[in-house]
Amino acid sequence: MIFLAPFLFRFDGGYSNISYFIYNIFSSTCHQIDERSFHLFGSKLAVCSRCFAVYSGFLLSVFVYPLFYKLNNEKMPPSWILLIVVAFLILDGGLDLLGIFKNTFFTRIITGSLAGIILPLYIIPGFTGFVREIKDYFKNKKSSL
Amino acid sequence: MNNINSVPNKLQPVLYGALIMTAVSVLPVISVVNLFCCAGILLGGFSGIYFLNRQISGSEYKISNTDAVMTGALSGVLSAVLVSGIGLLLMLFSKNNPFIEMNKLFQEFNLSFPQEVEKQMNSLSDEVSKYGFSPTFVIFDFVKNLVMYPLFGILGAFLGKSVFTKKTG
Repeated sequence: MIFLAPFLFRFDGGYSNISYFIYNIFSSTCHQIDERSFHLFGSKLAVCSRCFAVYSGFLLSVFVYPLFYKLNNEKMPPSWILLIVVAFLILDGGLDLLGIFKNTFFTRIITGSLAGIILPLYIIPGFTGFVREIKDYFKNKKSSL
Repeated sequence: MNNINSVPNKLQPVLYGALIMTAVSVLPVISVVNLFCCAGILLGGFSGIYFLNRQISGSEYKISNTDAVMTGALSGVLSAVLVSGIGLLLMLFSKNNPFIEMNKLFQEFNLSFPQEVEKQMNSLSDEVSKYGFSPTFVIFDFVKNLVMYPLFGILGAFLGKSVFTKKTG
């Protein structure tokens, strides 16, 4: 969808409506500032460069996850790893906002993709645990009947 | 098995989480948090778990993954309603037509929409002139928020669980 928005933006008719629809969907989670976004076919992607890195890292990590962990794994990595990665992300954006340090596409990509890669390591075990809890709930309900 | 008396009030964390998500989405200065992608919405789910964890400190209750999903999702749904409602009120009580303002802004930056998008913008703008708000935009915005907010709220809640549950051991 991130790539589809600039691609369809070039066309007239219903296609550009779909493009507008996609841009609008992502607008609630991303600032979509033109000069902070990658461009494709002359239009910006549906999200900024940092968000693009987060989503790409996330996708990559989800695909690679089964190679390193069992799919029924519910153990999350230590929380300090998450805090360090988030701290880098906040520092990169925050220092730029305060005018102390000018971040670049490179720093946004590095900090964003790091966060994207790390996030599934906490989220997938959470969802696995959630599914197991729901299964247990129905199992217990069934056995109590 | 937890004692029934130790089960915390789960409504309060949901309310706090939703308020944080809404504040970050609506208030001008705080909304800078959204520069970090969906951080504002994640923060809502995350803080919902923080408040839930604060309630259970000292008790034997352990936050489950289901608690995280429920807190994040419900905070997200409530926040989606609030954000869309506030957006609607702002549109109703604002003297300016937001779509005309957006068009002006685009012209200032020498940007243009494709013809169809411009047509769509004009039709939304006509709705605002006619009814004082755009029903199409409000419904679209609400449905979009109803999907995005709970989704990111749940992700934030899982992150919160991973950070706070280890502290309680």
